[in-house]
Parts: sequence; structure tokens; C-alpha cells
Amino acid sequence: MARPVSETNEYAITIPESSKFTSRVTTYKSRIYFDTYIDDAPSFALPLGDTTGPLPEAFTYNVDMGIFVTVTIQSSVKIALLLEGNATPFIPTISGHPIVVNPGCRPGIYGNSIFYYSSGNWMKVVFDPALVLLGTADCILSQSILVARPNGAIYPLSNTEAIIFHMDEGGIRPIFIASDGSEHEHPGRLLNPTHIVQPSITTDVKSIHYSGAVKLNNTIFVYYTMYNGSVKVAKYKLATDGINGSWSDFFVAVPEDISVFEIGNVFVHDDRIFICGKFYRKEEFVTDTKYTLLLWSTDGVTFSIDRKTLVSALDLRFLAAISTENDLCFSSTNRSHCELAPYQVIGEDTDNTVIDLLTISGNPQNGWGVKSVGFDERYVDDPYMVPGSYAKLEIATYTSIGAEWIKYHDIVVSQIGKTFEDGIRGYEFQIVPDAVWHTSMMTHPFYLELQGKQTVLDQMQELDNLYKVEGNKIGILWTLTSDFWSKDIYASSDGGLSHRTHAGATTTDMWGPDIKEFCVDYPILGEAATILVRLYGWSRAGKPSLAPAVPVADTTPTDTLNDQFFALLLAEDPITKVQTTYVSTIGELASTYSNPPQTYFEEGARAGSYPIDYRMASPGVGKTLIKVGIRVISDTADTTFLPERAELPEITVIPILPDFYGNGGSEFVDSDGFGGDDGGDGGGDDGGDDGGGIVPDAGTVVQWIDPYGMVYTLNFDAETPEEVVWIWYNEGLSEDNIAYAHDVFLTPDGHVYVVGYTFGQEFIAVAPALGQPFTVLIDADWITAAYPNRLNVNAGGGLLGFDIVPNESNTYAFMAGYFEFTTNGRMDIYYNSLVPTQVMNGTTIQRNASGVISYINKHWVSIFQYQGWSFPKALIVQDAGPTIYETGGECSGGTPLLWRLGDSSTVLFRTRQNDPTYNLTDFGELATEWTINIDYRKTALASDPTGQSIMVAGIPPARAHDVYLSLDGGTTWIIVLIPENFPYECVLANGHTTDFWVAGKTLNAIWSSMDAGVTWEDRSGNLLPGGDAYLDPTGTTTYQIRVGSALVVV
Amino acid sequence: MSDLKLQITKKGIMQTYFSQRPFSAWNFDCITRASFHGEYSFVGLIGLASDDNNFIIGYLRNGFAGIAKMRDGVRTTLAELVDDDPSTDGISEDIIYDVRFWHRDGLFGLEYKLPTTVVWPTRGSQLTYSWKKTDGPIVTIDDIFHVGILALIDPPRFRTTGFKSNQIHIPVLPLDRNPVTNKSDFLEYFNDVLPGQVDIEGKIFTYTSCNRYFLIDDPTPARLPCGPYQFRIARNIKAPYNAEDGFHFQGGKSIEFLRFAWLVGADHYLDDVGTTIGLSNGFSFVNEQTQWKPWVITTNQRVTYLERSRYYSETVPPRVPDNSTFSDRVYITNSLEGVAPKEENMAEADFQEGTFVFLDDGDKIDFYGFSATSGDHDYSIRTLLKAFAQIAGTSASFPADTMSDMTLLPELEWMS
Repeated sequence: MARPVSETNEYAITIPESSKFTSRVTTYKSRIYFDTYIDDAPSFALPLGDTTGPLPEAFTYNVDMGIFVTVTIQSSVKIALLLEGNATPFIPTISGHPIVVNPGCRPGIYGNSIFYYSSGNWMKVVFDPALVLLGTADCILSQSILVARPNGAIYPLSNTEAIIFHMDEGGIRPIFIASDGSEHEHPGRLLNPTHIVQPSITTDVKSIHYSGAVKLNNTIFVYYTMYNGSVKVAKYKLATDGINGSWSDFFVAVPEDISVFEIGNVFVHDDRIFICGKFYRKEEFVTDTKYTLLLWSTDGVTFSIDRKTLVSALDLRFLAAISTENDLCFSSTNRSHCELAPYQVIGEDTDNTVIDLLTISGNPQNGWGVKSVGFDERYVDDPYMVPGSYAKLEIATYTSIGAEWIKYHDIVVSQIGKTFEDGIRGYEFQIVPDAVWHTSMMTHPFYLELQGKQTVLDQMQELDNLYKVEGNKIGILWTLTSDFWSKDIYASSDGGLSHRTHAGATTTDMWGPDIKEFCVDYPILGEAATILVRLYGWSRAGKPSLAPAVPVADTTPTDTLNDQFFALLLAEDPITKVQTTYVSTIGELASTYSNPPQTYFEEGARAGSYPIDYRMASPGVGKTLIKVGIRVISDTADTTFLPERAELPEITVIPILPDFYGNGGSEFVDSDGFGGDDGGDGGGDDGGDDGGGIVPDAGTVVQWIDPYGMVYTLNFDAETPEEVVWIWYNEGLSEDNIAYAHDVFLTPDGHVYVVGYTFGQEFIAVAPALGQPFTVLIDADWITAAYPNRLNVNAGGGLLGFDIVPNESNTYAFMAGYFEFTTNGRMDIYYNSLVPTQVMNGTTIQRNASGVISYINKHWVSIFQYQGWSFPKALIVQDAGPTIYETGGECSGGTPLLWRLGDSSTVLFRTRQNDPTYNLTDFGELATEWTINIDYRKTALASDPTGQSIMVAGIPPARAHDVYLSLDGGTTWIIVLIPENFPYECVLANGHTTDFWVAGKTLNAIWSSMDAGVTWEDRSGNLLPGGDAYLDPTGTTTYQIRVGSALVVV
Repeated sequence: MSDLKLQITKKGIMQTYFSQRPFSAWNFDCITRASFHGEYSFVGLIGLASDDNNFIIGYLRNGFAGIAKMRDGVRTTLAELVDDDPSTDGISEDIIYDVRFWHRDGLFGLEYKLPTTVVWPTRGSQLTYSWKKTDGPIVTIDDIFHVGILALIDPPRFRTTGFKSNQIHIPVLPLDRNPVTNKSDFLEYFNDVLPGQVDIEGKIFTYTSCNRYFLIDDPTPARLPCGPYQFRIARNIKAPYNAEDGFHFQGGKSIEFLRFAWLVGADHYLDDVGTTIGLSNGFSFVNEQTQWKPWVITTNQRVTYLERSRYYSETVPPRVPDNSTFSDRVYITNSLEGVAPKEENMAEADFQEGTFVFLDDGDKIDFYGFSATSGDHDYSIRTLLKAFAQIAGTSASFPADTMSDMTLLPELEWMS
């Protein structure tokens, strides 16, 4: 835009050789900063640094009185005027009565009118300024109702117009009261997105005071400090009638930048809008300093926050106003500082310094370097000649009427250089265009970061701008029901939840699983005062039956009662995280009875409810429900009960959709398990029990004890040894089976194998689970049918070895074969089936009367005799080949033995009784003698899964008969002190950890150690005299011990 | 007409999509073009979303337009208008609509029109809702306000005790109560005499009727769904084990589980007849008789079980004995009957306990386009520069530019 020039100026410029120029810079008073004030504050003024405020007040310059005036509310809810220069509050009265107001409101003042809220109305009184100056309290000329609106803050725009902010449905709504009394609400409200503002909350009420409104030309601007510290603005554009109009949306006037700007007040001067308020940093940038800023704007929407807006660091809430004499006054409840307004407020009307320039060079892009009249030192201490001062650069043309000045640019002094040398005085300074300086000098704490907002329109016809939300609460709402099948129960030996029992006068709490085991999250309790809990289950008097075993007599009286059920809730306080158990009371019973119906012991039976309902008191709003349960309380005698589930139909959760506890997704066997028309025996003579399985865990221990057979326990890890319950179980095995069995195996999924190797009495029997009858898989007839030549003269063979895979649910292999003296032979392996895989045949197998197979390093490894009748060697073979090792010496005179160390690749073997034990690492060809001799039994060695912890019933070179433990894979050994006279005869087993070992010897001798052999505890339990599983231990021998374990997939 | 861009058929779970731009908008306008099929389908636009469980939604469904809030996944209707006028087709399934949902400082509005109608209805002329303090905080997080779209197919449902696709019953898992209606959808919406079809994890099955043996709130003590009980064994019972004091149960196929009641067989053998016995491994059958005092012989002694019952049915699936363990749970409950896969060659599938079963009507929601704007008007570079300069305490100058005020753009008709 071209600058206008005068005609004379134009002449001077255009006439050749006639123009002469000069230039000057005028610098202005560019800021107000104060750290002291005149204190005329009343006693009720809030102190410096107060955080309880703000005090209700408004501030203005009263033209009629010629002083600054504050209207405020005394603590005694009376309107008070605080007059400039007067420390005594002036209490205006109406007929001797002070003006009573609602203390929560922010009053307003315009000219001689005071606006306030009282008794449901916004009121206006007009005072006589002359009487006020005279100190006449009864100065009110009129009183009238402005509008009936809720309490809040009022900002008069004239004597008849005002903006009111008040709470409305949880937000703050501005409303314009026009000169005709009509009300014009903004359609939107200023909302704290996460908080509902309420009149009962003091901070909410006071937050309305951080607002303001002004009228500039034909537009009204309303401002409000938001919850996050920003300031929002909306405009009401007046129509030509000055009454009607339209509201704009809310815009951001002062952005939030980890900062808060609390509006003090807003005023207009010279077409600029000013906001005086308190600014401070928060969160990561928080400091103790509170700044008072005077922001300004030309459009009313965006405000300057440059460094010149800082006016004080006093922690008071200052309001600002300007007088007709251009005095700008900051006041906080009549603690005031007044001085001439700076350039930002009154422009060139403020104080200035004019500097005539000697030279000037530069351009508007980079600024100019100028030199003043250097010999004059008058600018050296000039308060307006400082970097950052607003200024203007003018040039003058000498014309016929003298020097004519034209403003060339609004500038800012950016740098000043002074030289004092040998009497020479230099005064040079840099000036830059106003915009360049400001935009480059925004620094902390007054910089603000403008973030690019959104586009006006974002079209996404391809939907590629959308992303699918996969939240952590994806799911379907449902009502809460909890049974009692926790993960622990699934993992138990029982494989599921079975009935429970307890003695008379006993309380047993049955908790369901943690709700987050089967729901996405814990439910949070709402405002309902009570919660309906429905309990399902059954209970009867009496002890559990032992069926299918023959029960012992139940001595429970037949006239006793069954259990009462009570509801249990475990809830957590969201703040303290303390979990508390809540138990329903009999007074909260909502069903007829607190017990389920009793149908047993009919003479003592009693009626009951199904389900048992409690409407119990809620643990409290906001508390988290962790789990639910049933408290079972018996009457005078033993009871047996089963909790089914607890329903809370009023509680909503998001169930975790299956898989639950790994019960699904398995392959189903496609057969008719009922055995056809003439199938099952209906629980016949063998008393065959259930088709379910027991998943063995560390509490499951199985022994094979000659001559009685198999005995097992599911609670070997019971709290006390006396509680260990052993169960004899040999159903499905013949007497010969029991008599000739040598080995028992327990698979991870609970199958039980019993194996006998005696020639002519061989067999393999299997039960699907402990407590279920055995089925004979193969027997001696089967072996003979497979190898008929074994019955020839000087022939032999049969079932030689059997083992399971310790890390698979149910996988086995066995080796079988035959030999004929000097002529022929055959050795086969059967992998989990009855189909043979040939290992070797022909004349080299002249003797295979014995052998052992084991699963080592993910291969089936067998050792057996071969080659030569008189002096057979032992051959170690991996799977069906190749040969791993062939011993040098003979192995006649017994069974060659083979052990695995955990799941390592180490093979230990022994060819015959009096030979040493050899170590064959990594299936190498070199066998080295081991450091310790092992008793000549397979059961004389056990190791943990790593193979590093090994326990052996040893025969060391010194022939000491002890049990030894190595923790380094067999390199070094220590003696384990098992409480037994001949410990070297013990059968050893490992409980799948370094610490847990079991040792046994006879029926009444079985010990466990949980500390790696340091201490041992007798776990014979009811096998001891007096126990219900007790049998005569005389002549008994423990053949095998197995410890159950969870399936580990490798 | 626009091309289909997104089709939703999944039931029960809200499908939410957020916009990347605007990523967050306090005041916003969202527009979509979409259609729906099914009585229970909602097509919606999302605003003020903190996450996929907390937002405000403007939606259309069959015969209705509404505004609702979602808090922790629970939907609460704030305003809803009925538009089922048959003369204008109202809001009907299989018709494509343009839907606009907006928010301005606590005021929400929704408009809809046919794509062939160029001009949008006047803003606020169809449905508005001004946020109330009783609605609670308007968002759950104060600095993230996502916008986007939502599809929800929310038909009646129940949870099953477990279902194998070759079974003919789908048993109902207790507690069968929809938390929104506080009723059993199974009893309210599944027709017990007419055939229908259900959707289980996207697989469709037909059914012929319902077994409504249990009425959920029936006060009769015995008539409540029971369980879970531990499965014990499946047996083929023959004489004399089916006898009790001269009374003979039917014998044959049976399963036993840990439900105890000491009831006289002759008087109570039909107590649970007609109930569906559902196992968590997916097998099920309808009970025919119950032997409350089952017994076996052990070492020549008659031994009675005092913790279980024996449930007889000739329709006990043959694979139950070999495929059931102590880890299986048994329920006595209601079920759908005559169930069969809709597709002839559907591969056998197992649906585990707790799986939702939805009433199916071929429900779907189709999206053809979406747009969104922030409600903060005019953040052009010009405005940003101006704001930047203003905050700095100066004013922007563009000596060579010709400035013209923004003009109001016509309604956004990009889709037509």
C-alpha cells in the first residue's frame, strides 16, 4: 500500500537536484512493570499469594468522580466501593440499609451503575457520585431488577446491557441481556469435558469469576478461562437494532501451553481489547511465580502474549482500567499501581524520545543500522531507548514549507551500541521492523506454540483415513455369574470341581475364580444401595461316600441339618487398593431359606430354597468387585456340599470369550464309547468308576509295592504327613499281573501303565487314569504269538523294556524280541502301538534275554544283549538304528541298565552287576567310567528335568551304602541322610524340581524331601498301622515310585 | 451411486473406526453414507471418543434416528426420533442414507437424507440434544476427542454351555439375562414354534424350535437351570443296576454327574424329563429319566453314590464316553432344538462354553463414504500466520496479496 504524500513533498522529490532528506526515530514508552503498589486495601482483601480466591470485584474509572473505583463484596455480603486513594471501604446504603448480595456472584460496575445478584435476580443500582465523594452512604438513586437468571458473573456493557455467565446443566453459559431486557443465550456452553460444574462446589462457583465481556463497535466479545487454562471467546454480532444478533462458536483466544491464564478483567480502549489476568505455568513447567499480564488484541479473538505484556510478578489478582487522562491503573482490592499507559494501549500518545539520525542504511527485511548524533550523550540513559522499545522510523523531505515527515515503518529498537573513546562519542543502534522483531523474540515463559489444527474438510471416500479400533475392552456385555471352577481346580488332580465336606460347626468359604480370569475387567459397583446375589448348590448332612469303593459306616446322626449358604463379595477400594470381604447377613436373605433343600437323612431333612437369594448391602460406589463366593456353614455334624454358581444379575461384565481353561479345541475320539448293544457292564462287579481323568500333579505319587500292587495318593504334599491318603487300586489286574509286575509308569495326562517282564508272565496294562480299572494291553500269549520261536529249546526273549515319554501326554514304547541259541534272533521296538519296528534280526542276535529302553534326548534308546551266546556284548541303539555304542566286554549275568539324566543327551549304562557305570555323552562312541557306582537297579537313580541334580542309591568305590546327591551332573557328590538303615536299597524318584525328592523301600517306608535331601519326612500316611490303607508290611518291597507332573510340551 | 467400501456383519461387538484426520476434534461435523440390514443393526457416527467404549454416537436404526452416549461400553439413549412413516419409507433397512452428526459446545445434532437429495436439512432441524448435567461428564479423557464411524449389530443372544456343530441342541448357559433389557433374550425373542437361524462366531445354523423347560424367573424351586456339575462317567446301564426297590429305570445310555438329590426313583424319575443336558465339551441331549440313587457293585457289595445322579437318554451322543473327562462341566438347561448347519458341507466346529449365540437375519451394515471436519473453523495458513503474529504482539503484513474474506462454502456434496 503506497503512502500518501503531500503535494509539496511530491514537488520536492520530482524536481531534479532540488530534494534534500533527513530521518529520525521516535521511541515510545513500551511497557509498564511494577513490583510495588499503594496499599489502600480493606481488611477483607485476600493476601499476597492467596490460593482461595478470587474475591468478587470489578474495577473501572469513574469519569464523574475522576478516580478509579472498585466494587466488591464484603465478607458480610454487603456491596462495598473501594475508592482510589481511600483505604476505608465505602458501603452504599438504601434508606440506611446496605445492599445485600449473594456472596458467590461477581458484581459489575459501569459508570455510576452497580450490578449484582441477590435473591434470584440480577439487580442494578445507580449511585450519586457526588454523594459518594462526600462519603454519604445513602447514595443510591435507584434500584431495579435486570433479569432473573442464576447466580454467576455479570459484565455491564452499558447502563442497560450486560453479559451474564452462569451455570447451566453442568456447563457455563453466557447470555446477552439487551437494552430492552431481552435475553439472548449462547446455544453452546463452556464445558469441562470431564467435570460437571455445580453450584454446591465452591471452586466451580469461583471459576466463573475468571471471565469477562466487552463491546467493541457492533460486536460483543465474551471471554472465559477454561478448565485447562486456555481462554475461549465467542462473539455476539449485533443486528442493526442493537438488540438481536447471532452468536459465534467458541474460539480459542489464549491458547493453553502447559499454562493457565486466569482472567482478571477485560476492557476496551482505542479499538483494542485488553485482558488483564494472572498467568502461571503448570505440570512439567510449574513454578511458584505468578505473572500479571496485560494482553491485547485488535480482532478480539487472538491476543498478544509478547514479553511487553508482562506488568508484574506480584502474586495478586490485578484488574486494570484506564482513565480519561490515559493513566493505566492496576488494582487488586485497592492495592494499586497507576502510571501513564504505554504504547500498546494508547499508541503515540504515550511518552517518547525523538532521535535525529546521522546515517541510516538497511532494508525492511533485515532491519537498519543507524547512527545518531553521537556527540550528544542525552540518549545514553534515556528510559525509552532500550532494546525492545516500540518506535517509528520517519523520513523527511525538505520542501518549500519546511521538513515534511513521513512515517516509513513501525519498528523496534533491537540493539544499541555506545562508544566512549578519546572524547569521541558514538551512539549507534539497530532497528528492525516490528513484526520481524516480535516473531523472532518469543521466548520462555511467554512463547506459545501454535499447533496446526484440523482441516476445514477432510474427505475420506476411500475410508483409508479410518483405522479400526481394537480396544482392550472388546466384548459383549453380559450379567455376572461365577462358578467355582478356578484354574487351580482344573489343574488339580481331580480335574474339576467335586463335592466338598466339612465337620459340624464349621465355616468354609468357597470362592469363585478372580473375575478377571473370565471377564475382561472387574466390574465397578454403581450407586445401587444393594446387590442381589443368587447362590446355587446342594448340601446334605453326612460324610462323603467312598463309592465306588465300599464305604465305611457314616456315623453322622440322621437328624442333623445341612449347610447354610451366605454370599461373599471381595471388593477393592479404588484409592487405597485395600480389599475387603463382605458377607451377607441373615437379615439380607431374600429367599425363604438360607439353606438348599435337604433330601438326605430324610428324618432330619429340612426344606430349603433353590437358589438362595441375598439382597446384600453394596460395598460402595466405585469399588471394584474382585470375586464372589459362598460361605458354607455347617450345623452340628458333618456335611457334604457342592457349590454350583453365584449369580449377580444386576452386575454387568464383559465376559472373556472362550477359550476358558484349555478344555476346548481338542480332537474328539470318533467311537461309540458305550460299547454297542452288549457293551459296558453298567458299573458291574469291578465297580468301575468314572470315565473322567485325573491330571497328575506333584501331589500325585504312585508306588508299586510287592506283593500288593499299586497304591497311590493325590495329596502326597498334604500339609501334615498324617493327612496323606493312600489308595490301593489294582482293578483290572489279575493276581499274576500283580505278582509279576515290576514297573509302573504315570504319564503327564494321567494314564497309568503297569508292566511285567518275567518270561511267560509278561504283560502291559493301562488305565486311563488313577482310580480307573486297568486293561491289559499285551500279555505273554501276545508275546508268544509274535515270537513263537522263543518257546523253542535254548531260546528265549519276550518283553524286554518299556518306557513313556515324560513330556508328552501319553506316549510309550516297548521293546520285545526273541533269540535261539546260535541260530537266529530278532529285536523290535513298538512305538505307541502294537506294530513292530525291527531293530535287528539274524544270527547276530543270539542272546537278548534282557534289555532296557528309555526316551533320551527325543529318541528312543535301547540297550540289550547281542552277539554271542557265551560272551554277549551290550549294544546301545538309537530308535531302530543306528548303533550308538557297543561294549567291549561281555554283559552276561543280568540285565544291562540304561538311565537318562533329565532330558539331556547323557546316557548312563551298565552292562552287568559288578561292572562300573559308564557315561556316554552326546551319544559319542567313547564311554567313560562314571564317578560313582550305582546300585544294580533301574530305580536306584533319579534326576531332575535338567539332569544336573541326580540322586542315586550308590555303591561308591569305598562300598559305602548311602544315597548320594550331585548338583553338577555327576561331577561331585554329597551323602544324603535318608532315615533308613540300608538306604542304598531305596527306590528314588524326583518331583520335577531340584528340591523335591521321594525315596521308598517298603510298604511303610516312604519319605519326601522338599529341600534337596537335607531333611526327610515320612509320608506313609494311612499306610501306617491304624490307617485305613494299612496292610502288613512284612516282606514288602517297593519296586517303583512315580511322581505326577503337569504336561510340559517340548 | 458410490461403491461399497466397508461391510460389517460381525454381531454383538461394536465395530469402531476412528479418523486419523481430524485425529481429535472438540466441535466436529461427521458425515457418512451407509445402509443397514436387520432389525438390530445400528449405523452410527462417533464423536468425542476417548476410546472405543466411551463416546457419543449419532445413529440410524430401523425406524429410528438417535443420539446416545456410550460409557464403558454401556449405551444410553439421549434422544431418539421415530421415523417409520411408510409413505416415505421412514428409516428403513437396505436404503442408503447420508447421515450427518455434529457437536458444538454441548449441543449435538443429527440430520439424514437420501443421497439423491442435494441439500441437507437445516442444521438442527431433525434431531438435537443439549448435554445435561445428569448425563455426567461429556468425555472421559479431557484432551482426546476422536471422531469416526460405528457399526453395531446387536441381535438377541444367549451363551451356550458348549456346542459341537454336529449336535442337534444348542444348550443355554445360565445365567441367561441380557443386562440391557434385564430379561432372557432366549425366552423373549427366540420363537419356540417357528424355525429360525442363529449365528455362532460367523457360522450360521438353522433350528426348528426351542426347548423352554426353564422359565428364568419361575418361582418353582426345581425349575431353574442347574450347574455346572462335574462329569463323572457315561455308562450303558443294564439290569440289575437300573433297579430301585422294585422300580426299574429305563436303563441304557446314561451319564452321571455330581448333582445330588436323594429322591425316590418311582416318584421322581421324571422330575427332569425334557431338560437339555449340556456338556461343556459340546455334547448335549434331552433327558428322559433320572436315577437319583445310582449304585454299583464293588467286591460283591452294593455301593450307592451319595454325590451324583444318573441321567438316562437313548440320545446320549455315542462319543460322549470316550471324549468326556472330569474336567467337563454339565448343565441342566434350555436349548435350541433341531439344529443343523445352514451350509451343507460345513466343517465340524467346536464352540466352547460361554460362546454367544445370536439370532440371525442376514444382518449387515454397509459404508460407502465418510468425511469429518473439526469444528474449529478456518485454520488456513493465513489464519495461522495472523494468529502467530498477533500472539507475538505484531500484525502480519502481506503487501502484495489481495485479501478477500472467507466465503461460506456450499453444503458438502462430494458424495453425489
